[in-house]
Amino acid sequence: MMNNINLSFWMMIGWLQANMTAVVIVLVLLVALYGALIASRRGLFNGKAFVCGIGVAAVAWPVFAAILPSLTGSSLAEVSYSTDYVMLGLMSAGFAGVVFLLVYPLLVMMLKKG
Amino acid sequence: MVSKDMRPDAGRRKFLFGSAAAVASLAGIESAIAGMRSDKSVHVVIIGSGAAGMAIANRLNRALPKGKLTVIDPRAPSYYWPGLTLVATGLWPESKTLIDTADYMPARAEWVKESVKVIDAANNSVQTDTGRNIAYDYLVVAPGVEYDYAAIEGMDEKAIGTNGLASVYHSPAKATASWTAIHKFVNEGGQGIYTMPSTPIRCAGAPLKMTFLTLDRIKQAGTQAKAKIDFHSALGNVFSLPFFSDYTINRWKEDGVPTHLKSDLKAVDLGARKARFATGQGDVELTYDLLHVVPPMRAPAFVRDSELSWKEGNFAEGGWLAVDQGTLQHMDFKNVFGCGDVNGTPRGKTAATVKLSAPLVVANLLSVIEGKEPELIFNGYTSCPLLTKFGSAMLVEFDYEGNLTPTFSFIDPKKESWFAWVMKEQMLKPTYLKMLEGRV
Repeated sequence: MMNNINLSFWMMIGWLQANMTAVVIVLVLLVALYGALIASRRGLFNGKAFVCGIGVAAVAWPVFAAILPSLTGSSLAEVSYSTDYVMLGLMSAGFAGVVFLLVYPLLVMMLKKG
Repeated sequence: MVSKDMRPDAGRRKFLFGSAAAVASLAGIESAIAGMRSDKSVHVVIIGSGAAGMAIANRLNRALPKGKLTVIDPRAPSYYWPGLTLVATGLWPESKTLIDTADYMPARAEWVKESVKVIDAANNSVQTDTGRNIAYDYLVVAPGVEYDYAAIEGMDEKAIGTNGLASVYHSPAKATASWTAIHKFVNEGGQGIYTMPSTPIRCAGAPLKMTFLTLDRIKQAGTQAKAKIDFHSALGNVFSLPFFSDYTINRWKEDGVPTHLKSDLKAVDLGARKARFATGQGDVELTYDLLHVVPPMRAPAFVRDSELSWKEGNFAEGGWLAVDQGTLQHMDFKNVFGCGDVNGTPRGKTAATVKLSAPLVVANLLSVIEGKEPELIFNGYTSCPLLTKFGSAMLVEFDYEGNLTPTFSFIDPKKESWFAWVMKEQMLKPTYLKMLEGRV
């Protein structure tokens, strides 16, 4: 178990390092968006924006699930058994979560403005 | 995957550094060695700066704060060997497999960029090709393997990539050149011949992956009608585990690829594109348009010709390093350990073998430095992401006994899987680099 936790942790760190450009872009966007939100003094939490953000992520989830296999040099046809389905679902959910984090501050600002 | 020594004489042995070894079988080797260190001022020489050499150097760098480390290897860039099959089949650029060794060399280690010429184990000394003698207290032998292309009559390494000759094993540059030859064959068609030698080889799945991926390239190009492949194995199988050997042979059969067992490549006529195989029915000469050669392999000469190699038994012929298959300690010289391809132990070695055995070697070496017996026992873990097509793989992990030992129990090693492909294509190189840092 400890081996697996250690392996998974360093595997993820290594993967993030290997995709550093994308990671930095997302981090810069997050800092900029949440910085703008804080600067706008509109409050960090907005229930309506949260629900809308979840909706956007819910739409993004199956989209990621559909395109992730081809982005990895494979295809949806190769997603062939339960582990593949679960891992594709989890990985897609992770990317959809990033989408949520990115659109949420925008939604807060837009909804307040409106 | 790692267990405490349960052999009859193990009872007298003491645990090193508290309960570290005791938890090994429960929580894994990382927990077992997490706090292990020695304040002894010893000199450890590591031969090789590949996966095993770097992983051990970085772990010892942390565990031996007062020790001196010397790494001997002339190679400035090393390479990510598991990626070569993807280079030789046109998926990855060669640059993706190059690793700057300097980025991973511990600052405290002295890097001797020379080749080892002689190991004088009786006198605890290593001589390099410049005549320099380097004395050591402890020695880790991790130089990898030597490709014996010369054992194939008429073979010329320089010709790889030309005139229908391919070989993924040689180097990143020759993997790229091999793709040139394979790409031409895929498009123009003809007779392809893929081989596997009788000697132990590094990553024994690579010849299979090359065959599977070339087949997939042929399907993508729509040239199945004119491009034919035959596979010749010098062994009685194509994979050491019967299930995967049969599975592979049957998959190839479905794709019209005959498998010829106990058919050993002995000679080539590169100009005439002819290959001669030794078979049970005598020598057979075949013409080809593409020949993928897997060279016979053996230990480097300075190991073969030293007191450190096996002198009898299955591993004597290739001069492989005579280590105990459990502790990875040399059979006679107790201050010498081996790691990686050079070890004369059962089963093929891969980067995954190093992943588990490098920390074990460090732990057992620290035990010996502290005047104890090695405590941790290696089970022979090895792994092969068997690529069956672009986008799908089987993640096969097993031990000395041939038992399947999946790291993640939710991955079924007997199923072709997209996620196994993702592990191979996306995750294994980052993991490999962390292994070089001594993190996994």
